[in-house]
Amino acid sequence: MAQPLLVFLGLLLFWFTQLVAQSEFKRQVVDLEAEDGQKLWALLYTNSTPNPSIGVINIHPRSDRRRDWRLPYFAKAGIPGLGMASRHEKSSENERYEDILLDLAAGVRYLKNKVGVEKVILVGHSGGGSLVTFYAHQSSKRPGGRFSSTFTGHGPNLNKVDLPPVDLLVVSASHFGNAYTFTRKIDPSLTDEEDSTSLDPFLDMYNPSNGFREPPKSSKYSEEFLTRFEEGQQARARRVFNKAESLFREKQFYQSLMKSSLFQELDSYEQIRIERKVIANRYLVIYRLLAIPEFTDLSLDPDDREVGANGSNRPDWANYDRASHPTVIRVEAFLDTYSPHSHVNLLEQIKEVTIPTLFICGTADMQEYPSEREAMLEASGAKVKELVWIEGANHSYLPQGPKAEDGKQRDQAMELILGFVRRNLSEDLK
Amino acid sequence: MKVRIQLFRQVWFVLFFFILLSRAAFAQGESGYIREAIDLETQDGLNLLAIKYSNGANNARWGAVIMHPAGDMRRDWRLPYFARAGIVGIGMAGRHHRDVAHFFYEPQMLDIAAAVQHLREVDKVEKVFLVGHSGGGSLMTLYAHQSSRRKGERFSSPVAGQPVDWRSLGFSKVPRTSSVLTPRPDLNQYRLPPVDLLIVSAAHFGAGWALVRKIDPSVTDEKDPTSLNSSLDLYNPANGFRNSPESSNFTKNLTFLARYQEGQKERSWRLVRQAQSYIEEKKFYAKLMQSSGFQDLPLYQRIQITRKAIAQRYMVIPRLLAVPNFSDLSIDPNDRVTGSNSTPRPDQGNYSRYFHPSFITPESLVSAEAPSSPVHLLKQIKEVAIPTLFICGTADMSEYPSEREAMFKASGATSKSLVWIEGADHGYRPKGPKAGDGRQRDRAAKAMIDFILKAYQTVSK
Repeated sequence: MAQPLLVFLGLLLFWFTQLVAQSEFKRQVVDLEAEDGQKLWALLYTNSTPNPSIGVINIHPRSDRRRDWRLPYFAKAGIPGLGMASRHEKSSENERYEDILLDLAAGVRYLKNKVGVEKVILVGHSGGGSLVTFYAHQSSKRPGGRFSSTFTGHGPNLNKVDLPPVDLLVVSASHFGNAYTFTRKIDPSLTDEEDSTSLDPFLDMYNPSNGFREPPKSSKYSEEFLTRFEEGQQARARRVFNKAESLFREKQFYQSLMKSSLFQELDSYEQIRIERKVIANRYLVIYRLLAIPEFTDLSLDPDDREVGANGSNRPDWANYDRASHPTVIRVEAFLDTYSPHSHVNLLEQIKEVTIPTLFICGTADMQEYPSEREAMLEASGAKVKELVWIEGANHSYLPQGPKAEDGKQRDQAMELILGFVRRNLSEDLK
Repeated sequence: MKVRIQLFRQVWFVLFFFILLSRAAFAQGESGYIREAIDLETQDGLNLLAIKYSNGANNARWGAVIMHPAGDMRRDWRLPYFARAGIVGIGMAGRHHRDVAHFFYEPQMLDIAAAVQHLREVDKVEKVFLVGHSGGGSLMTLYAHQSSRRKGERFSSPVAGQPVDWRSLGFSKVPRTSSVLTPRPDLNQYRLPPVDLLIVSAAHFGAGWALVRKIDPSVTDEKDPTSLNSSLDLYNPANGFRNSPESSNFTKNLTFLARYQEGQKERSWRLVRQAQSYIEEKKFYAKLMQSSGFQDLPLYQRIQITRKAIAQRYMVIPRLLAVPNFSDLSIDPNDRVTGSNSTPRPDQGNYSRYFHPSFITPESLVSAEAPSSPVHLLKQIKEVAIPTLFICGTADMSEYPSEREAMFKASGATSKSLVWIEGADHGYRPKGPKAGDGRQRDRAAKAMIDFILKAYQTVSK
């Protein structure tokens, strides 16, 4: 007679552990395949909530978001999440957002078909913000209304792929896109692209006579310098664009030669040599990409930040010693992703994104500033949209600066995000 | 009444065991193994995401670590085989994965050490073995070598050294934010837990050695990826080249191969000298920063000198896919077909594809990716005494018989074996005329597991 009792106790224990498990989360390795055959793997975060109706994806073009800190919060709230790494993880030399949309689509399909959710949230943090906005934009268009080709012709025709729609967008501490930041952060004082320390002191924002003070002191730049500096940034960016375009056009020239009758008259080795001109891989090396006056002059677009860039409290050094994307990049990827030919532009695309959209940022973020967030909010075409600030939070929502206070910035950020989700997808979250 | 109770009891029992079984079955999946994402903390403070494979039994006596300097081995095909055989395995992606530009061998010793320690402490395995495939072979051999030496006898830093001491920049503790200022580890200051067995699979002797083997000597101007000395062009029909699938004949011209190999050495060392001159220049300015008069200079001059000491350059190195064996099957013959492991048309891939180190910092080139690197499997394997298995496919298009024989001969292990998997390519997939029944992976896994079990019996006696 003792046996049924034991079994009953066992089941009780099982049920109890299930309850405990619900407030915890677990991670699971998940294999994904994009529509073009690209193999990927992600981490799925779940708790034991039965039949979840909402899922979330976190992805970034270059960095590995498989262990993003937000995913455990979502899972514990009953929202299973996929932490992804795109096919261009850690390789900005090939970065192209059109490719990554296929990776994202594979994640959305997994959540809907395998996990069984009905609605999907996309979280784009930092450089991921313009990526998920691009996805929300393109997936909301019918095939035929999407981008069919990049400038160089590389990457997929988005009209021919499945991009399942998504239901809510969280744009966290983001900029407008790589093409925007490239001109924003490029150092105009570099005079020779081949020489990483070549210098025009007149255009150097880290030159004391232009107003620079050694960190942690704040610098002070004059209006006159800032105008000169911005013009210099545009001029250098243009020089790089022109170089990239001329290299690309040279390839196109040889490509057209290959189709001419002249080509047929050549011997095989001569033909090979022309073919090589078409296929040869060309890299651009672009030095010194960490020069934003807001890094050092706290009076520009002021918030609660300290002097520095995200990832370095000495941007004056990091500008020289550290690669900042796209330091080394293929000409085609540069043209498609970092030049004015890029299709990705958050400020433009957000106008046509109508799903509920939350903009969130820390007030101590050292690279994402207030005026840009206000511009996003204003541009957003969503009926339900909000802009929230997390006081004293840096780019990773960790406490920093004078307003760091109790250090619970991550808890606060997630409370606000989950609140926004509940209010706007509430009928789905039991 | 009694019958009813018994029935009731049986139903409960059946239900209970059904739940247990279904959970176990779910955990193991259909394939007989489970995967778990694990976080590995290295001694210098990195946190790496890895995948652990096991059969779920929690009683493994053997643990495996598999890693590659640049590749992601977290889902390597060998790990499910090991797990089903009761071996718990960790698939890794080291700190420099997908980042050859900043790659050093030495720091990755700490990544491997973290996995070895995890297997010993968390999984309580008795023995740990390392699997190094392709470029991972020299990496794992280096770990076996360095971990077998006492502190004081290990590599103290990569050969390019540390151009600028971060303390001279005013840091009171190790800076975490910058690739160049982050000091490279002195292996004498860290724990490198020893390992018990080494598997060297389809490996070459090291990235530096491989550069000389694969570099295209017909490049005349490093800045121009199509610059050409046609008399040194492997892919010139006049030198014996034939397009795939036909085999080329580079020995028809008696002087070509000798001139070619001379040219490969010449270009490799020219790049090393170029890189060294960049490094020397940085060191010159770093030394100026240490001199007593430096602090008296005006701020902007100090800033400009500091920049010269820390500025990171990148070298773009075109055309790195030109091994004569790719196209001429009569050189170091095996069962391969023409082509390289990454493309059937190396003549095109040489121009169009990324191949490490297509772009790289001078420091990493000199320390890890050029013949100036001290990492050389043939040297280190001499002093590795643990049981060592060398394994390779006979249809591998980039790893050839003579090199494997050299490794096997050089190995200092008392228990060593060289195994060939017939008709297996670089990924142990069937290829070429000896592809046969296509079960190459099964046979390779069996050969590895057999070697481990045999060594284990010897060890436990």
